[in-house]
Amino acid sequence: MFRNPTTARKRREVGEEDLKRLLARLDPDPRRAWQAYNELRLALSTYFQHNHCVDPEQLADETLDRIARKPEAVEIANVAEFAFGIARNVRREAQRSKALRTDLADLTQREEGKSKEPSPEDTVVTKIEMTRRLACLRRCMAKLTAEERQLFQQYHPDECEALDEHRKRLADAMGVSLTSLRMRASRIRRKLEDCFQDCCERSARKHLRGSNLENRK
Amino acid sequence: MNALLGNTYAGVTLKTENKEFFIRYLLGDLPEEERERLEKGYFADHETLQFLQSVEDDLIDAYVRGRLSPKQQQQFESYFLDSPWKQRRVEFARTLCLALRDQQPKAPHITAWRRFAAWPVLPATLFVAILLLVFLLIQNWRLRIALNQAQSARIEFQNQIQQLQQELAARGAQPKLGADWPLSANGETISMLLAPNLLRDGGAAKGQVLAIPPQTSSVVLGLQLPPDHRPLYRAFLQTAEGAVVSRFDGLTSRPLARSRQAVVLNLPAESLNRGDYVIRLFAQTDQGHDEELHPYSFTVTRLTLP
Repeated sequence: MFRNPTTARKRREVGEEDLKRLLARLDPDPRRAWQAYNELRLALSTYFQHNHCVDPEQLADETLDRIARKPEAVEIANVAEFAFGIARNVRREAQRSKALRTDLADLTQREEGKSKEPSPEDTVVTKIEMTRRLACLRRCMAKLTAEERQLFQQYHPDECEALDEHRKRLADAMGVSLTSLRMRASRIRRKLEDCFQDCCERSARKHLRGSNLENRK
Repeated sequence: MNALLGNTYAGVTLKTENKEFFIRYLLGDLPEEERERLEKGYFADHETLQFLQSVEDDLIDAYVRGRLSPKQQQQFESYFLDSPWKQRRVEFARTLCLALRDQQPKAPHITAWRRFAAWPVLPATLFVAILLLVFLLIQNWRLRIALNQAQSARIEFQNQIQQLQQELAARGAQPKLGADWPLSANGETISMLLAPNLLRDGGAAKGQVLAIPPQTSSVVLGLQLPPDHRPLYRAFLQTAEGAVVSRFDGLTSRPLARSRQAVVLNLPAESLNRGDYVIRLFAQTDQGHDEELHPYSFTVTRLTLP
């Protein structure tokens, strides 16, 4: 989820001064400024994700670039408010551009979606993939601290009808508010999910390399 | 969720306890103004954004577990699930669901036991039952010890009797423990039929031993009479030294087997200590005088528990 903003800025042809200006606008304290930057980037990508945009991460960077390029003379009273306005424009532009072209991937997905009956081969592949995913998840779970793992498992009971009640009791037992518990569990989940996606990608690449080698033989 | 997440952006204040509101946003079910209000909210406040993420996690979990309503499921698939990235998130949730199911198989047992332990009556009953069991085990143990002691005492007692019988046999006389005595004896009463000392020198006393076991409350002594018996008798129980222990008046004779007659004396066992005794028997003549008959001598011994 997190990308190094320095690299991103260079790719977007945003100068060092632009970035410094943006950070100063977010907070005078450099450490807090970086934190605000990351939080704003997350808000932007969430906004694009929930507004049917194809590449939310790229659009979030595009939005930040536009804010960073604003000269000193342009007064920005509230960066978050300003960013929301820019994001709306970026989204409209992206959706207009998307409407003008037909995405090949979209077409393929639609065609694939039509065939509902999975073939026996697909079923075997799905099972193998699930085994690989489970291995990845277990590996990532093992990377969590014991405390994180325990909290995460308690927060996600296997079967629980009254989930909110269960979590309220858990928060009470831990002596924290439900909001605080939610935030903690959510952060752990992001960490776990990032590790999982990364592991799955590496595992798939490894599998592909293995298949290619076998084909060459 | 008690806190109002302090969102002052454009006068927007979002109450994050309204989870339903966030779900409607994620499923594209909010009007445009409400939608924009929420978006401004999470731009201005990071906690609101985190709350939205946690609601999104729950929504995906509910989908993979089949807990969404048909309408929500349709909205989820047609509106929410619009990108490969979100599909990957669903795959993650599906894998997580499987992994958690594997990891938490014993949870219901723990819950059931905790529920049992939390109910005050059952643990109390269990505690009382344990106490009762311990008490019964201790009682059983004590009874076993008492039984063993009683058996040992019985064996010892039998050994003493055998020892005494052997001693008497060695002295050339047999104890007369009322083999043909008509009166029955039980555990608390002991009886003995005494023969008169025909020689009056007390030598016969050595052959007549009255062994009194512990817990004997009364002693019945039969004085075997000579053939010319009288209607009325009187007797004196004396120690060997001549001290009168007890006096018996108005005694009459009673028939025994084989046409014999006897006078019966009842006395408490506690009146007889270990030692030699003499019974002097007097018969009343027709003229109203007392005529002393042959005395009866015997030795008292006390049996004790080991």
